[in-house]
Amino acid sequence: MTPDQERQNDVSKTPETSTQKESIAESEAGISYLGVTLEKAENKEGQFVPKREQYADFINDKEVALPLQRDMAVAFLSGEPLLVDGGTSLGKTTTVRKMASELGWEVHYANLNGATDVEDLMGRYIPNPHKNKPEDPEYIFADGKVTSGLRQEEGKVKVVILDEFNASAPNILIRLHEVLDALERGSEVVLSEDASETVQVNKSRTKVIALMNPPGKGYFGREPLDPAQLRRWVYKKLPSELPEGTFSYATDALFGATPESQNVTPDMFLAAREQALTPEQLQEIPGMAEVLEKYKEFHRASKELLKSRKVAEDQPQPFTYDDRMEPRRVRDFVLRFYNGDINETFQQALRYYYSNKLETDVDKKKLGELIRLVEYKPKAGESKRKGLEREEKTGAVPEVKRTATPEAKLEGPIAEQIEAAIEKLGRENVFGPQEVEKTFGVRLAEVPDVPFSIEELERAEKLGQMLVLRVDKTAEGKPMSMEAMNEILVKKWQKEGKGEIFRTAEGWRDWIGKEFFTTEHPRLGWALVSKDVLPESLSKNYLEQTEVIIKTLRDKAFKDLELPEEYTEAIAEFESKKKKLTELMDSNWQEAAKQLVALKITQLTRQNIPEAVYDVAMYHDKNNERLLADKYAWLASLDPDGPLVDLGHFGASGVGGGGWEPGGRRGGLGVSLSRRL
Amino acid sequence: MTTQTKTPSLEEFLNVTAGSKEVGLIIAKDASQLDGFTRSLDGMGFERSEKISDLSKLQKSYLVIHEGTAKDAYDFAVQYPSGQVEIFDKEQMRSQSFSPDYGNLNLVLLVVKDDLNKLQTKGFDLLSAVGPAFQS
Repeated sequence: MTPDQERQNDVSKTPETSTQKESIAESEAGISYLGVTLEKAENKEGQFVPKREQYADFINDKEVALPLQRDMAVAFLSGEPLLVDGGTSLGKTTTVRKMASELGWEVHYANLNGATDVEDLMGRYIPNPHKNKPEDPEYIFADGKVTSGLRQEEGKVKVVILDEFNASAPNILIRLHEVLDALERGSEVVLSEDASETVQVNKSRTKVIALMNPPGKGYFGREPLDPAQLRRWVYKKLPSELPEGTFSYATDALFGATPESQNVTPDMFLAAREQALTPEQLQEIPGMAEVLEKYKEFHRASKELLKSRKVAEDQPQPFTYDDRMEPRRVRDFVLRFYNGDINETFQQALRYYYSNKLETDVDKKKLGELIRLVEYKPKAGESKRKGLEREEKTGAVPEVKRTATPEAKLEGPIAEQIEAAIEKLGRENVFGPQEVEKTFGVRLAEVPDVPFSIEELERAEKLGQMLVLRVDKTAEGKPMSMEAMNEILVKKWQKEGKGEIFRTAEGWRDWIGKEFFTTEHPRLGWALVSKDVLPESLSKNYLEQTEVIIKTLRDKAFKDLELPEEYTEAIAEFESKKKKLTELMDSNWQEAAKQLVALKITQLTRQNIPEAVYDVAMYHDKNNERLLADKYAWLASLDPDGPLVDLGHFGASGVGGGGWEPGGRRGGLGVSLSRRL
Repeated sequence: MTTQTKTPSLEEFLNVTAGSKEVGLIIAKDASQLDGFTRSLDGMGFERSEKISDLSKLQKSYLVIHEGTAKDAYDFAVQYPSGQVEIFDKEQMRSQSFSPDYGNLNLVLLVVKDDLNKLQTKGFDLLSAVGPAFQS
């Protein structure tokens, strides 16, 4: 039985299905959208509450629908008005109504395109339709579409949708901004249309969301808004067109085809505190002063990027990073979402208020590089994780870090080799002795030399590889087995909210065997490892994958370099046995599997199971990102019944795996080039 | 050898709009053809809506778009696929909201081509808001 047996046997329990359930979780009192929980209305009755059955086929894709709901939920929770700018096919209005249907909230809709009359929105006097007696007034004041959304009613929550916001007449925008200001102050909207009345407004009861199509780009009558008008809004830029991944996933889902895995990663989730912090408590968080200084630098740098059009160059709707509004919003976000890790919370806030305004992945990446710099680096023995939550809940027990002693300091040639590797591959892709110590708590007395030349590292960078120092023993001198890694990481990741390493550890142990699980370990030394499977290796059998490996070695890894002798010999061995192995795969696949694993080329270029686990664990621990999240890599290990093991679909609940006959081919099964020489 | 593309009949078109999650649009070349379409629709059991709010009350209905109904028709068509439609009566200053029972509805808008072009240039992108469209 494999850890993935349930997935493979039962379509209704695929990882993506279970992830969907976690992505939007419902309780009696509320709904959580990627962790952001909104309370249901006490009074869910009335014609303005959308009917839930209308959204039975709503598709929660991870690129647009889920993040959009999360971000809307953040705005609704904080009471901030949200302006969403994106193409028509993205389902903006439908998404708001779908959420309202789940929450039992009323929707009050106004399309501003072609609307010229402020009174339609705010109200006007009309002949009294109920006039029966002479003393009855001739005229009565009737609410407009917006006013009815502003009025507070017992147990009701209302969403005012202002659709096609940028097609609005200027006088309407001015009036709506007065409404927003009143909502922000929690004061009253004076109905100038009816001088005698004021309406008390409350942003916890009335949510305002404006929607717009991008100006230009084929949308008639949509002129860019003055950036100054955007400052009242939390502005979120969506793609102008449905992203390819969303289109494909949604289309598959509509036709009942099993969609590709969605890989909803934990970093997509937010978690609102039950009780927001007070501004005074912010100063209790270790590192706040340092983060704040870095945030100020970040804000200035972001403005400069925007000003010099190094980001958002092609976005037709100009916007600003407002000097007053953004810091206030970021502070309020931290108060509401602080999760015990100031770096993570602050960076989430910056992604929400800064990155969300950008359309392209390239721009988001540019800003993401700046966001990563907004961090507090604890000194030895300190923790960036403030125990505010723990202090409140458990009585101020100070957190003890696994590695409480100073990190290993490197000097000499090895330090230089690592620095050179960092220069070529990027710091996030180099896992040396410091990372080994941080992730697995092992301090090496002696660090082996990096066996790769600068030229090889340059080619590795092009191949999307990382450099990993693997160790074979734990700090206690036991084998760095799957069991040992599980023990180390379960404790560490639980504290850090990083999920699990195995799906499940018991499942893996039962399947692969106790001996393997407790004794097999990575081979000591440095390895260059592809962070994803080689694209050409997908949908190929094990032998064909080996051919892809050889081609990659020749054409890419050692391009214009001499192939080391070990590889030349390994390739010659493979070529000499290929025909026989091909036949064997049909006649006796178990024997073929054994021989394929024993090949020198396999041992030189594929990970065994503990190595694959080690590598993805290191990467996730350092970068908070899961490799092999939506694919499987075919390894150099056999399962006890003879098939060749694959490993992947690394999600919050850990890595899965399975066993396959060598002649099998699967769309999501490839090979990750991992070489130690 | 030549190939011919068969133009669907009005009846075939209405089979497509039946149960659709979007409103259908019939584009007439001129007023005379529009009259012909309305007679055909009447003959096929469709009821004419004079006001946009009537569209929400009838199972098989059509509304002719002209200057006075353009904004309402556009707002209706834009909202219809979103699962809920709010219709605002300017005279009564009253909103009503309904959830379309798509499977049992067949709603069609009619417009003369010149009027449609004018509406499009005014920013009422009806062609994007509606689902299936018909012209002969």
